[in-house]
Amino acid sequence: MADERAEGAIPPAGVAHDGSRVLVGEVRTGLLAQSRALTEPEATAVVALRPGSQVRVSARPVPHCVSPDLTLGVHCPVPSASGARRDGLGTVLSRASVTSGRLVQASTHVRIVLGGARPAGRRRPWAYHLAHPGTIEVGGRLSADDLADGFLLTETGDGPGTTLDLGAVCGRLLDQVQESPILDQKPPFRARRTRFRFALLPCGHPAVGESAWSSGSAAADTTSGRSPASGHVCRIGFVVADETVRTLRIHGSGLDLVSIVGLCEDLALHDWLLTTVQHVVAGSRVRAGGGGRLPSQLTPVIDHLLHVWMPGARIGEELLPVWTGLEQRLGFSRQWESLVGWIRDQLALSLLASLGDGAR
Amino acid sequence: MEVVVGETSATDRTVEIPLSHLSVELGHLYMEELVDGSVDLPAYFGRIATWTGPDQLADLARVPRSRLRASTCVLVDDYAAAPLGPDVVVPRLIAAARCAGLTIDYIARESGCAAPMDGAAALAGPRPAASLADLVEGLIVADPAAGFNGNRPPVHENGWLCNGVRSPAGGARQAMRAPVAWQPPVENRAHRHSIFLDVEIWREQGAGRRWSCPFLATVWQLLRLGQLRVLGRPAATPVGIDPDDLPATWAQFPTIAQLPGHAAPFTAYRTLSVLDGRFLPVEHAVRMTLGQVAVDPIVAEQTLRRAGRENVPLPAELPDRVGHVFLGG
Repeated sequence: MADERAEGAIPPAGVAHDGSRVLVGEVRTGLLAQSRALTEPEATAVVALRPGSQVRVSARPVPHCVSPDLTLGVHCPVPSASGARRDGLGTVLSRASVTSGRLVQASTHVRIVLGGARPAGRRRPWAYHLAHPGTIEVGGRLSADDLADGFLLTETGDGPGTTLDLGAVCGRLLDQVQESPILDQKPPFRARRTRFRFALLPCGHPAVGESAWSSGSAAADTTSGRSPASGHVCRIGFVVADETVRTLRIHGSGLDLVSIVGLCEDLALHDWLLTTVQHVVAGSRVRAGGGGRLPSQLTPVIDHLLHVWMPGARIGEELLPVWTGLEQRLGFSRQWESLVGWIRDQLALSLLASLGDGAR
Repeated sequence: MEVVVGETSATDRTVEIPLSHLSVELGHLYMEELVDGSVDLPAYFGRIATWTGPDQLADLARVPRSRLRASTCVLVDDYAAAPLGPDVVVPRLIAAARCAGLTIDYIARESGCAAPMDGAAALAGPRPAASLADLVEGLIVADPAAGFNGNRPPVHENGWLCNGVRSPAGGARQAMRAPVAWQPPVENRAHRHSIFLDVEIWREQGAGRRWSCPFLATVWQLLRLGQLRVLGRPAATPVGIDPDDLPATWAQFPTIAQLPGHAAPFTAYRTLSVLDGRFLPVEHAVRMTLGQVAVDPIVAEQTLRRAGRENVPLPAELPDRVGHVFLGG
């Protein structure tokens, strides 16, 4: 999987002045450890992770509270598919959010600047890195694809390792929120956490390792009629790696990194909803057919999750094509509608059955 | 058609505050010295005045003398013990400074950095900061040692902050084995050789935390640099006082008091502290700690943008905005 092409280290025109920049991040999504939906003040308190800092709250289209960004310093090799060891120094940013008083997410991201002019040697003062939060500078040559492949294809957060471990940072933050004393530790049903890893690379690279993910990839060409300066997405690749791990690779330029992180959080949230409801429905189908009674597992899903589906509501216009592209190829919303339809049918059948019981 | 939707509660509201070019600290004395009268105050301020002429200040602020906005301040050391109240100390300082031709614009009390916050900053929010010191501790992002990749929580030595990797604990010896050989500490940013510094931030004492003098001095620098906010509002703002009607205890005195007159704003792009040489270790600790404080990026950006508009050269790194003059004995 090594990227042998020299041009990998040379930034395409208009992307960066001193080296390629690759945004990498991970989002973990789960069900809040709480028996009922949190009110807005409760949700705000759960993600108020630093004294004196603001929690961002929005009420539409679904209630959403986001913690302040937390900063962590790291000094370690960055991921590389080819096994190249390139040391990076800087900070990663993490934040936690609660959506609809029900779902909890932790997300960690960092912009990795490759091929900076500075040779590996004496460090810059730490204050320099704090003045550029969420950036890791890497000394020595490393291509953007080598880095992205290394990040997307390697499992992290599970054990010892020496390279940058965003998964561990993200997982600890999710644990920290879930262990908040405000929560009663009694979720209404069991749901697995999902991991969503993403990478944003410059345009113009044919992706390396394409075969590893092309089966699930969707291409969306949005360049027509837009200048690159306004920000555009060239291509995206979405992979369902296993039951709980997804990866998204975006090639684009001029994009606002904060928006990209927001997009990935939104995608991860909806992917979790789909995965979780699908899992519950699959379990119910096995047991369904018992006298038209509503399978008991469906009740919490109806109570807590069905109204949370609002794809793309919080993302910027330049990124909407990503949602549209994924919709076209993967049919997120079609699948969701079909699941919701099945659940409603079960509900209607159980209503009819209970009416029938009452008539007898 | 472009549709723009926004919710005011969804965006950070961060208040801008007035800024001078330079905040000048006119010395620092321990409370004991004010009590026992061992220091000739007019002579002390006279030596400071030598270093704080308008040309020198304009030079340090990197602006022409005609444009210079500078304010002066003194921090009273009342945190450990305060046998004398503001009604005694404040007039004495003002008079001695006046003898040397200096005007003190603002007087702050060190205990204010550790006390519960007052005014708008006390507005609770979901997670209130207990004090300015508590607020600043939450902003510390430790300088990582080589090899730190995020897979463990950052080492949080209770109440200590350093600039590298500590020497392994000296007494540590595993059962039935020889003592571990001594290893030197390493400074993260050593220039051939290490100058390792380990600073006590706080210690548990009685019911609560006892903050260290260097850490409160770091809070003081951050206040002067205008970088502290609570829920987007200034964490502390100067309160006007009447020098003829001063309280007898420091608890009744504002965290930052403004004396009558036409002073330039308390907060500034840069600071200068003119201190006795004996404060060098404290200020070394202050610079190291400042270098590991990550202020709200919105505040940092606002300050840099305003400096740019005013044509004031300003480094992004906080320790580089802090200047010192150390006086010999």
